[in-house]
Amino acid sequence: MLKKIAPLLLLFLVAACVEDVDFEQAENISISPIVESSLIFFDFPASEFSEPTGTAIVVVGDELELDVFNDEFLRDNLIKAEFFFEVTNSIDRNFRADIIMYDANDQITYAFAVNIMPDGNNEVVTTHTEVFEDDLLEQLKNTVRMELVLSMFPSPSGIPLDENSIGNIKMRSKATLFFQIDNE
Amino acid sequence: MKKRCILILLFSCAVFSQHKQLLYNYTDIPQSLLLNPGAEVNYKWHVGIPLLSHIHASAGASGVSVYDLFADNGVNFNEKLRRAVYNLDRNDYFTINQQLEIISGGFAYGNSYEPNKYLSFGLYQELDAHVYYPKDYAILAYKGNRDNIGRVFDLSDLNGKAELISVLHVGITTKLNKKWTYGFRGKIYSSLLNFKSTNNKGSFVTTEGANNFYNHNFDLDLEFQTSGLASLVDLDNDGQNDWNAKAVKELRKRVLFGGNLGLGLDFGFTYHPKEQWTVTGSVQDLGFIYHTKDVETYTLKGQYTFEGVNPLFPNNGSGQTADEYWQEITDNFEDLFQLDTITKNYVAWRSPKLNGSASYKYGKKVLKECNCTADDSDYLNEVGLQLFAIGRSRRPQFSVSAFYYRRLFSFLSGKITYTADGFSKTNVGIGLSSHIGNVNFYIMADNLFEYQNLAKANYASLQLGFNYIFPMEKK
Repeated sequence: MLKKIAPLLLLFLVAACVEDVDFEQAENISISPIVESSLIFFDFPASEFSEPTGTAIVVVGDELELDVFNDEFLRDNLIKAEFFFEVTNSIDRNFRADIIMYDANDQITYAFAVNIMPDGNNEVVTTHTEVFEDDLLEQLKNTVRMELVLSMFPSPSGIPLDENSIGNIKMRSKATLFFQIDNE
Repeated sequence: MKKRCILILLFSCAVFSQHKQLLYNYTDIPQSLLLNPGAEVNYKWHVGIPLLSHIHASAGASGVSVYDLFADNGVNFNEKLRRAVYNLDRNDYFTINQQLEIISGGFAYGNSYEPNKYLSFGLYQELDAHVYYPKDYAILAYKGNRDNIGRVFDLSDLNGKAELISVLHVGITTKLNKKWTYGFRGKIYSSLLNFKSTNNKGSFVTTEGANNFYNHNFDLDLEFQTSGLASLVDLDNDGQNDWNAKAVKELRKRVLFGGNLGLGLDFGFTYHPKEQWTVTGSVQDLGFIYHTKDVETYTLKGQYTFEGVNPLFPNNGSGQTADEYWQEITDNFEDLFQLDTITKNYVAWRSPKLNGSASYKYGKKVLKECNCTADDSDYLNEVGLQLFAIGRSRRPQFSVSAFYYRRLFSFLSGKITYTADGFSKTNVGIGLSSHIGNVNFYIMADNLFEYQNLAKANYASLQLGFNYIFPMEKK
């Protein structure tokens, strides 16, 4: 009985071969998704910066815990990050936005600034791109806290700002995260 | 090369669908009663050789084959992956089906001179998994959202289920007259393990924002139901091997009424409008399993729109700092992606199957002595068409087969089928059934065109088995 069946079985087993297939190439898998996310935004009228002398430097600041970048997945797979800022200013003053990043020991890991010029009360759009790669990217991955400081400089003509002053300062920003997810 | 052949065979055994066009209405083989309890029976009794009477394994993937991804043709693997990610449709699917008959048997009864009823019974184990290609998830993971601003990622693309069950069944086939035969089979399902995620809803979309560049809208309503899993995960163990052994032992306990139970029904008929014409039809696995024991459902539910962090610094009135604001956002995200585990009974419907066929028999054996045909002998050939449909969570899947059956020798018959379905339009299969003494052996395989290179096949199946069949006495 078995003798009669064996050849049949063998026929099926032997015939079922696979040609020209290489499963090991799966080890080279690499995918590169690019994720964009909104970051910080604000929109303040000139009256928020009321300053009766016209000669003072007004500094406002705020900070936030930002431990997203030392998440394990990002640590392993993020290969580049870009922060893009767009500031629209129609207040007749110079501004500077400082972005300061701190690590877990409260040491500054990196800081950069965006200088914002006025054109009277006309809207001036200033853009700034900060690219994090290689060493700088490592510093971003060590960041746990971020501080945003917005400084307004004195008016060259000495005109004070009050609740009737016109103009706004607006910021929009986004992060572009470049991943490379592979087998390494 | 040898090693690779074996590997592929295992792979192909581990992967196939439920369509058994070769076995359907192959009445020489008792297991055809499992596909149509109203199939004609022409033997007195049968016993399946335990654990060897019906071994079936099949796997398929619509839209992509092993070859498409792994061909050693110089094309970069990631390019092949990219093609697969984009070319597959959300209704493409991957499926695995495996059955192993543990015991089976049957006997004719009724009129003592001409028994007109046949009772058949058995116990088999079945593994069935069916997963749709989660296209939107794949594209989001593959490409990210930057190049997909405005695209709504549909979270209902995640849709799949898997079950490991045992089925205890008994059926009665009744031959009403020369024209009509019908039958029923009752089934008790015992679920060893079940996963089900078929009611997912929601979306993720990034749109142009009003206050910031983007709004990211999350609307999640996802559910993953399990039964039989929690107790396995919680098994005490001393390492992986120990866990494996304990899990297998635990699963074995559930084979006979140990798991979650369910009921099912098969029914079918055979009709001869004329002597040489045959029409058959059957419905299988019209049934459900009610999961109440060892159930755990994981849910992800919530809505949230993120447009960035707004540091309300100078004197914003809300008294909220950016950090508090950020904390609120973090909390919202945590709530959103908080996986809730709930204990909830659920009903899992089996995938019902519908079979139908119409066929024509012809050509009797020519006797050498008189160069004529014996009137009472069987026809040697049969040609016909078969239809198969299976209900799946989104929509039924269909296939059509043309077949030719031939009695080759008194101890050997064969069937060849040509099948068109969601996997391919060029599926040719062959089945052989031998009766040597009272021992019946059958073997069937699908997709023979692709057999030289199985990797190119979208679907492959193999079934074989041994029975001991005691024939009717010749009158």
